[in-house]
Amino acid sequence: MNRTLREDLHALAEQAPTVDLAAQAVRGARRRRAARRAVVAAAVTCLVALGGGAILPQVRPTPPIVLVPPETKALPLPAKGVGPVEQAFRPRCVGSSCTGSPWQIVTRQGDTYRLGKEATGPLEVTADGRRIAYYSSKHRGIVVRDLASGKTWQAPLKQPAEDFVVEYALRLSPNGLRFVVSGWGGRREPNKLVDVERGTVTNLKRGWWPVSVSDGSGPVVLAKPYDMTSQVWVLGHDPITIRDFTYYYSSLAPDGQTLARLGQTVDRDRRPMVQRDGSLVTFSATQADRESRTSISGLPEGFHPSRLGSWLNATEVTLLAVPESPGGTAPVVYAVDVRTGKSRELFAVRKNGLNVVPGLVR
Amino acid sequence: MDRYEGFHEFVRTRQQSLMRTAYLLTGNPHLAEDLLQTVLTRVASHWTKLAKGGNPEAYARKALVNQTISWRRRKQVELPAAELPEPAEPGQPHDEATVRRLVLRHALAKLTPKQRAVIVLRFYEDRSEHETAQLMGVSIGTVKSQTSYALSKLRALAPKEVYR
Repeated sequence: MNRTLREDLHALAEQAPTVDLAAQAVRGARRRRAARRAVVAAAVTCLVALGGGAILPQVRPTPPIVLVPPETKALPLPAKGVGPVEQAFRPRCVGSSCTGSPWQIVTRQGDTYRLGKEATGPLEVTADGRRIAYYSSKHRGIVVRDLASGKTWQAPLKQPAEDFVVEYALRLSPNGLRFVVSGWGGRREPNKLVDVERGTVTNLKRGWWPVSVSDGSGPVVLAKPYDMTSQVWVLGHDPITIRDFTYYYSSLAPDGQTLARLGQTVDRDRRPMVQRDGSLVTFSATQADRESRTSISGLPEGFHPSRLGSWLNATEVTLLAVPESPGGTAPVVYAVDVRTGKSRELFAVRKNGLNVVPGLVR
Repeated sequence: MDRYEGFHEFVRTRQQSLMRTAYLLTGNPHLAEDLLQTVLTRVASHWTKLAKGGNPEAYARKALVNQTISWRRRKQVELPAAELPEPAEPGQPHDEATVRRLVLRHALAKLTPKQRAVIVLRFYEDRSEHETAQLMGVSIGTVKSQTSYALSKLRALAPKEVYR
């Protein structure tokens, strides 16, 4: 097979169009350089303006000071009495090399706890941070745990660990007792709506990935990206079409009707053709073409909106902003007012590993 | 001295090879061009360092793989189905190589970005598992498992007479 596959891959590769990209690449690099220099110049101007000449002697090359983050002491997760989670992370877990790496959760009070070895698969946190859901190798399924009371619920769906070796999504309802689990690329490709309280499992159509799940019998929102458009489907309604290829959605707003998405533009004459335009679009999840757009403001220079999450109230949605140059500053979670676009910082995400932000749609 | 001295020559000699990899990684000529454009802009931005002691091509190939995975991570994009070509002569069967190419294109579109990347790196670029793991920033175990999943999926998606 492999010899044939090699031959066919080479034949297919020959179909690649001929390009001449050197000049465009240099133009792009010059623009990036000019933008960086402008930022540096502005920063130096501010320094001089604020500090006067006394600062100038200090602006000379000095050896970089590398700040090593203090080692966090993680205690084993107590049986109960744990406060709401701000974020979860797997230290030193890069890409898919996470085998055996235990999860740690950080509470809003700053306490760090380590989960046991049975929870080395996927983990999600409800938007309010009070419950976690993780794959338990012991129970061969998702277990939901209330951190304050210690109560646990086992999902009525047995899943092999291999479901989570490939690409997957685990989208929780606000109370964590209803969720959609989806997988792509594996042998099984599950796409199921699970109700832990009622003990039910419902098969969902393949190819649709979960955006938002409500508690009880509330709305479930799925989405499907096409080449240049996307579809959003609130189960029980007809899917609506968005004239945009996107999958950066928020969860459903408290009104049970509105979704937000990160705005982007498609211009065939620009490279890359799809560009995020820094806007936030709110739209009806059930009625097409009912949308309004606002520009996101208040993010620091060098950061761009990356993903959206749950709603804090009727007008504010959470947003993850990431640095444009990887390896520098840590991503930061903001609250953005969907009417004005104004953002306010909530907390920075830990850099050293794989992260989970409560309620983030990813 | 021109900051980009040597960059044009690098692109002139390597861009078509990189474009072929980008095309296999994305399966779409427009996306492939976008991908390569983004990566080459990044190469140009770091050209001074790369030209001195780095390996521009290795950097570009690694960036191609990582960029395509981050662009299309997790979500399946439905690409328009390619039409089977008209037979050259009425009543004559399709050219076997053309059909195989189309079958492969469809099958690759069903893989996840990571699986697609391991197939391209292992079987198009003939990289070892170790090299593939380094390029993708994952463990060798992940390369093995992704390759296995991808091959079984290709086998399942292709008609009986292909890839058996």
